[in-house]
Amino acid sequence: MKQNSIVIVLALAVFLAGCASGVKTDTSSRTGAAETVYRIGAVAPLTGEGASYGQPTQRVVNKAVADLNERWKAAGKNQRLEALFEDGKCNGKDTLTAAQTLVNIKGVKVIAGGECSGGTLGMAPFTEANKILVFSSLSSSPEITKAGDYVFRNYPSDSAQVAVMAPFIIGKGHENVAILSENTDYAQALRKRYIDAFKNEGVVVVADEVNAPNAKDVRSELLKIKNAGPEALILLPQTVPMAAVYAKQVAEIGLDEQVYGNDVVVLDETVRLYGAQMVGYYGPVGVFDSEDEGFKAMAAETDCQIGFYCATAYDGVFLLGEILERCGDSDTDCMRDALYATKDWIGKYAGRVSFDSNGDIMANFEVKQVQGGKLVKAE
Amino acid sequence: MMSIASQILFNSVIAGSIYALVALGFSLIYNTCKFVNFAHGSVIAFSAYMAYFFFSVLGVDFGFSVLFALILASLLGWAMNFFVYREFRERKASSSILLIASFGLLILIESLVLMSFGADVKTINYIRVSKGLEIFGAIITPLQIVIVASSIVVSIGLFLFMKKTKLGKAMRAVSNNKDVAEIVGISSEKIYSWSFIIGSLIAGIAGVLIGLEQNLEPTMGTNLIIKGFTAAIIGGIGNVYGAILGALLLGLAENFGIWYLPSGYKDAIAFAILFVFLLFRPKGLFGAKKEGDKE
Repeated sequence: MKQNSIVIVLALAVFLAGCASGVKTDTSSRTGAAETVYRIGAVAPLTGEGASYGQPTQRVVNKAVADLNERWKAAGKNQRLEALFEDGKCNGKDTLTAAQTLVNIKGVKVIAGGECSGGTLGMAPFTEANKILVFSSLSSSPEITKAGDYVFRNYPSDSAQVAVMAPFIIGKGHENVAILSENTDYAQALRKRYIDAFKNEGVVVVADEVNAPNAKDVRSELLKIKNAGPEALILLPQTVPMAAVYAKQVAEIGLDEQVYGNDVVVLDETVRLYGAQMVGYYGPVGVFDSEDEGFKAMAAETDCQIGFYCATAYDGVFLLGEILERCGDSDTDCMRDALYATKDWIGKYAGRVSFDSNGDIMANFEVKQVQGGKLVKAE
Repeated sequence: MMSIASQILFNSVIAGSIYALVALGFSLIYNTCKFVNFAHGSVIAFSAYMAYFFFSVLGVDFGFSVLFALILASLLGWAMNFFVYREFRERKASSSILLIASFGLLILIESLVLMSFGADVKTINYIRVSKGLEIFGAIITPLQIVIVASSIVVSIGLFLFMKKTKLGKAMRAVSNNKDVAEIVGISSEKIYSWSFIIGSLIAGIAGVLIGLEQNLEPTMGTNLIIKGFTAAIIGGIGNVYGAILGALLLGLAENFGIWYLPSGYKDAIAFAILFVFLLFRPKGLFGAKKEGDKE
């Protein structure tokens, strides 16, 4: 009996402690000045293959939120931004579930993310129907351009990537090329754009291999490509793990053809892993100052090794912060109009931001080459 | 054309050897414990990460790093059985419950690996990545030769262990009839523990080799166990020798298949074979015939 009583008392204590911790104490309310809290949702692939994007950008977003709150505090503004994360797992289904949780249960009206294009496209019909503002700092599929009126992104569309890379590849004098791509929304949209661009210029795609998402063995696909005898190979992975598989197995099988990649292939993390095997690879990088000391310090502090993505994720929070200050965190029509009206907003790391009528930014890529384990501007 | 055929054959054997290493330990555990232990995949990932941790993070000698990884993999297997599956068995849980528990363990351990090591890709930089050796017109790396050789050595070792040692014979006895084995003084619980220790040791070997060959990711175990499970079904689940043949067949079918079909069908080929076996030959190539099975 005595034991039972102790258990009951302990359980009650735990319950009450839990209740107490759940009560928000707003100290500023007690002093008379109520603090304004802007709450936004954030969907990122925190687990699975896409976590190589989701985890570092989560750290960047958290850092940006802390820096923004610090800035507001220093300016004497009694307001704070709060980002509530959910795991979108880099696919449409889970990103939609994450968005539904954020909107229906946590009551947010703004979602930063989803990061993978497939995820953003997966939740877009739901967010559009509910007038939820979606702001992605990583999604680049051209399909997102038409995803809806409340969908914005501060990462350039893949169309811009192909617009820079295709003429560069053609300019190198290749008459035929091979493409190896991952079977995901993002990589396939990119692949189709490359095929269209080459068709218009008379470049023949002699091998077009599409491997399963997250495949660990593409040796036979590379063998088919090698057998087709292309002058150049274009690698289009969705994630860093897939890019790493490509780089390793291309080196092992001894493909001597010139290799071009997408922005994932030339991410800092991929180059850090397989820079020695990727010597001479060309790829597109969003135009920004990657050598900026402030950026390097922020990337080091957050252990973010995905280059331009770190910059857009950080700046995205500050841009959203300004919009939230103007519109609050509920009026998404006001936010949408404010974003469309944004012209030449200057971000700390990723540069100027202006949105077109589709919510895309007008930004550019430049071609870089892997040399000595680093990325250098391509000639 | 000869070099293409030999390259596809080599690719198939390499893939088959990796699947075989996964399927061997998995089948051994199924053979004695009679449930599908999907958490076997997490032991493979855990072992790979431990080798990475000791070698790349702590700077321990590679041989010792591998040894520590194998010991810890065996310990993890033992702990999974002792703290989770044994508890369920004591509560008379069915094989289906144990299977669900194994899924839970797989996800739990993967999440712990993710929390501990992060999501970014890791590599065990023991062997420099470079162009492989040319053998019969095909290119194969020294590590891939080690993987194929290890697969053969582990298979033969397991065969001898099961046939020649007292523990191996006891495992077979429990596998054949647990109740009769207990009557003659064999503790089934002890045998279950040993199955997990040895099965997880093999998973540990697989983890280290696969960690060297592929990159390390927290989810690597899930991808591997799916192929290992498919190989085990083809070979006859519970039959460790069948698992080897199943793994090789799977590797051959996938790699020769995508030579003629688009590459995206690679996994579809694997699952099509799995369905064919489940529908028309559920006991696999070498699976034990059960009472009531149709001829």
